Amino acid sequence: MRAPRGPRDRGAWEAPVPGRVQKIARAIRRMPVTGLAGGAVLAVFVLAALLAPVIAPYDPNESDTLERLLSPNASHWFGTDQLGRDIFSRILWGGRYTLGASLAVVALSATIATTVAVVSGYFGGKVDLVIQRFVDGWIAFPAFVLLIALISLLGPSLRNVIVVLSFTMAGGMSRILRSSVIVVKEASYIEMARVVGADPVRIMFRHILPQIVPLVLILASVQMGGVVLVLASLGFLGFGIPPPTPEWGSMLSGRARDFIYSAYWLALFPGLAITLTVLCLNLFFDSVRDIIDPRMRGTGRR
Amino acid sequence: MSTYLLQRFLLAGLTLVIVCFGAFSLLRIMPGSAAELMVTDQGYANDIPELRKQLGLDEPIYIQLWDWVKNLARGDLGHSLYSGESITSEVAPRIPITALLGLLIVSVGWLIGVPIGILAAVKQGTVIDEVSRTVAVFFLAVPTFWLATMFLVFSSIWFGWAPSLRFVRFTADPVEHLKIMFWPALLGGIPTSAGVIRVTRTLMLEVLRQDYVRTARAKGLAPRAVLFRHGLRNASPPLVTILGLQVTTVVTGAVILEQVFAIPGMGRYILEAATRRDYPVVQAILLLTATMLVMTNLTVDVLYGYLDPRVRLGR
Repeated sequence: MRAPRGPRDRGAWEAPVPGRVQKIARAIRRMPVTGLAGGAVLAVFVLAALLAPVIAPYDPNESDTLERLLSPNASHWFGTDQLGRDIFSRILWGGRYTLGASLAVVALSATIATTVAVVSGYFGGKVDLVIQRFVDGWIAFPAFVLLIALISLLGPSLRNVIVVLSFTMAGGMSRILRSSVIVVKEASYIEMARVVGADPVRIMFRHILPQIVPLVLILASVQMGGVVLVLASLGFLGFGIPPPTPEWGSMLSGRARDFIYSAYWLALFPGLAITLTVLCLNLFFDSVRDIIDPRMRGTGRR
Repeated sequence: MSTYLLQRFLLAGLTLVIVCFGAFSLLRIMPGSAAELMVTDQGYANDIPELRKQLGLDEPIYIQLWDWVKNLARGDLGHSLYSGESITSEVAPRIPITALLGLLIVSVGWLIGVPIGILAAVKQGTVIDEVSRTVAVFFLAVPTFWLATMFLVFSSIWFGWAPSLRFVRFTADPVEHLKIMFWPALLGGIPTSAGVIRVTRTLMLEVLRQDYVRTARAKGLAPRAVLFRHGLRNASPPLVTILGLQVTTVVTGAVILEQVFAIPGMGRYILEAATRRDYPVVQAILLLTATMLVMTNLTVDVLYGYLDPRVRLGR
């Protein structure tokens, strides 16, 4: 069997470089069962979230006063809430917001953190000193309290929640990335680039950035589970994605709280959805991290 | 005093100054829409100019800053828009409540986490290790607010019992106060223990592989002594760092648990204030919690230097 050719092997004299497909196949073989199971369930959740408009049996916001607070049954798998909305459909739709928003948060915070880390680490000296003192102040605020304060100030909306959460998360991440930028910067080829008079921006983008991208991806993906938890907690406290958007955390709060003692399913299923999603995200991305770089075991999350 | 300690103190001081600026700017970056809602929804003033005057935003910025710093130095955190009371007097009785809750959460987390972590390291690769790892992964994934809600709902459905949600101050009835704190502390300690399990296991594994541990075993020292005197003692400096990092997690847990269990601490105070758009209060609590965090990190650094002489002496 011939190996599929990677982008790097142009000449016939080179040994065949394992192609992407083979690399992925090898990674999957080396992944522990828990990671695989997490990945598989996660794939189902992502699919369910993507297909929510097709597979959800009811409109998530359609209330039916005759069908209020029904316990789980054949037509409403997870029961209905105090307004007669189908909880199963709301969870499916809620997955869209939760997964979508957490992906956006992870991407945005990784971008912010990388920018700060590369600029601070590359220039070093006084620039680094000043930037790092600001980062000190930035991460000195307890993230959750800062989130509540800023979201209350800017008003809860999908966009504001994503932006504020990304900024509060980026501080700590930029610290880890900065130390790796400083290591990369010392490499002789970077020095060469500087000697031949390459533009700093070019060095940062072309030479340093590619070196730290794997670390960025690992740190960011490992944090996704945590982001889902924070999003749900914010929703629960009324500072997340505002209702009537079906958001997992907010399904347990507000008016619903008056009914949870008589209708446990109002609280049980959204919480299970959160727990399972976070569990699978953590299991999957932790094993991905361990495969890519075993030395990173245990980093990236508190 | 070594350069290490001096450097730590200077950095902490500088961070505090930046934190003060950050908290100060909160009201100054307030968007017009928030100010409008403070007038129309909350009725803190008749119109926006009046509100700005009330908040002192009509003065030049350097005078605002000077007044804010001057008042802080006197322990004056300003006045609540909602109640008109001094924030210092409102927040003072809430601090010990949240402090005790946080302390209990951390204690429970460590009491659960450290033994499981040590056990997992000693029994590496066995069923016990696997189970403890699975437990940690589960604990890390469960949202505190859901765990607490499920506890309340199912204890009342299955046992017809619910913990009291009527708060009693420590000074009024210490036993009843601790009874009320027990369940939130336990529920908050569970997710906290997840991190402790993982870190303890990793650190113990690393330490138990060292030569001096092998030597201690070879000379016939009791396994228990090897484990605690040579193992845990040398794994403790990084554990102290984790303790510092956990303060953030505990603050988050306290905000949520105080809400679920109706405990009138700092967490509930900031939630109420943020909901009512009582921004002077929000600002004050941000400042207080950040100051506490900086102080904790400073303590951790100092302790680290004490536990690990290599750090103190600069390698």
